Amino acid sequence: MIGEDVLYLSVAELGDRIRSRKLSPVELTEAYLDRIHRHAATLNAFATVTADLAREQARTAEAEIGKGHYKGPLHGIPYGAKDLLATAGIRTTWGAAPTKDQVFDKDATVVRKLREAGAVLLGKLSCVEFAGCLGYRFADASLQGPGRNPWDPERWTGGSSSGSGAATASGLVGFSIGTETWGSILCPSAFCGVTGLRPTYGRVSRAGGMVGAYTFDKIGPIARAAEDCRLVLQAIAGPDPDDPSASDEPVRLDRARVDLSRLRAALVPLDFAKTKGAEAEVKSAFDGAVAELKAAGLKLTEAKLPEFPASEVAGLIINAEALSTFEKFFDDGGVWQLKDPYAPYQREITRALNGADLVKAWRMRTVLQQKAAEFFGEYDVIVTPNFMSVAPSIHGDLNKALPYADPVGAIGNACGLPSIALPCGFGKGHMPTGFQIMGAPFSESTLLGLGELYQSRTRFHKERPPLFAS
Amino acid sequence: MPQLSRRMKRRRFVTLVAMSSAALLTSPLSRAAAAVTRATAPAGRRAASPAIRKEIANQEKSLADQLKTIRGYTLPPGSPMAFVFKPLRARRGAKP
Repeated sequence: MIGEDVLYLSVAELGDRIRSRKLSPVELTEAYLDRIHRHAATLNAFATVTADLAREQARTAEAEIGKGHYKGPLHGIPYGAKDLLATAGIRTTWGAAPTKDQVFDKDATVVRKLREAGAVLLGKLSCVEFAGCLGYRFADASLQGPGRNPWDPERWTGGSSSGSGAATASGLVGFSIGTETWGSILCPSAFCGVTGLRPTYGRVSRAGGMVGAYTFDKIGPIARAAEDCRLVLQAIAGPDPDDPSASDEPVRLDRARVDLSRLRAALVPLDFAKTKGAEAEVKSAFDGAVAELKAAGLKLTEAKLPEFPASEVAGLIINAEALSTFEKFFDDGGVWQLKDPYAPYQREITRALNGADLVKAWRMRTVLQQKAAEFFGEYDVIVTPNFMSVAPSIHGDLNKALPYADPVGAIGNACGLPSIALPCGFGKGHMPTGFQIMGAPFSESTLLGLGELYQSRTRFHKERPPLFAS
Repeated sequence: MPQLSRRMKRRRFVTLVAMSSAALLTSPLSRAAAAVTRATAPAGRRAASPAIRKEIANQEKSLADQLKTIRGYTLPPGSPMAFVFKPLRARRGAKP
């Protein structure tokens, strides 16, 4: 009988036990499936549970390992994939009613790579409809219902990778895959108290993933430790002939100690006192994280982000790209099946936007990239808060509950920069809080190294939600 | 209701309206317009409630603010383009 302690182990720890044959992938998969069966519905975490496929993949993994064919650290590890990623012969709903019966005949590249690495697919994880690319104001804007937070099911998981955050935090999977156009990995990581990595744009192939805003979409891991994100990213990164935007930049993620003496870190504080909706407890937890990084030897210099209307540029481009992506659903009336009451009107709302505006926004984005490159000429990483408040209620208007801007997210996503989200404490209602470390393009190894260093000195990433404690 | 010419009798006006309506309904232009209406009136469309109208107005205002910022930003002459276009090489032996 596998207990909860094992289900909450990190990927690295599970991998060690599987490699040394102290843990059976078949038994581990059955234990996760049992937990999913008992608890997943409470959280609306799964769109589809792929029990038969999982059992088959687990049996294969066990047989291969038994014969001495160990593939690597993900071999036999059960995981969940956001339901935007195509899985051959298995429903891929994109979290939305118009596509609720959609079935593809080919796996997304990420799913294929994980299968080849020996990982076991437990199911498809819920998400906000169309990853929120047509906008959403309520937690309920998902085919699977509101993402319920395992720390308090009356609070939201964050989105759009809501199931990925909830399932990882509640020990329903070993790790999960999320996607981010703007905030969709970092937000559920902060609200659910897990570790998420938004990779550099192009680091991970998007082939077979739903397109939201094609010059913004990224795919990345959500896990219970930075070390796990490293192991997963290593498996899914790299060039792909099926995705022209996938970079052939070498994937050098081998664990190497970060040389803090050479690292120039910018501390970008946010003004909690003057920001509507910001919570003092979250600031306090962030200050604690900064103190911990300083104690570890990181030299932090307070810095300001480049002055630039990044939010306007990012918002406008995402809007235009998403309207093009989902054009079919406006034409055939599919948008009227969406839960968000305002999504069907997005064409009408954005009719003032013209072609010259979009090209101007693209050109301004190039200027912003140059400014970001200059900034990262001076600094290697930015240490800054993630969300300024804890997870809000699932019942309210999210715009009112989260009224503050996201200047770091705007620059990060407009410029395709990687960022790691790390839990750093608890705020109101004992809900998790987090901070982020953002870097220059393709600096994931440094971010992961800093994350691992921070987590070697803290235990926030090991805290478990009380919901299903056995 | 349009203002009637004092000289036009009510019966004459009603006849004209009826004739023009009939002409419109049977004209090719009318059929084309009807086809466009069918194509652009998607299934399931609901009339916006006052609350939704209010929020649409808020979102329009938000977009207008975005556009004001974008349009007001000066890109100096010689500013870089945003290159996404690349010529596509023909593949040898590929059939058209």
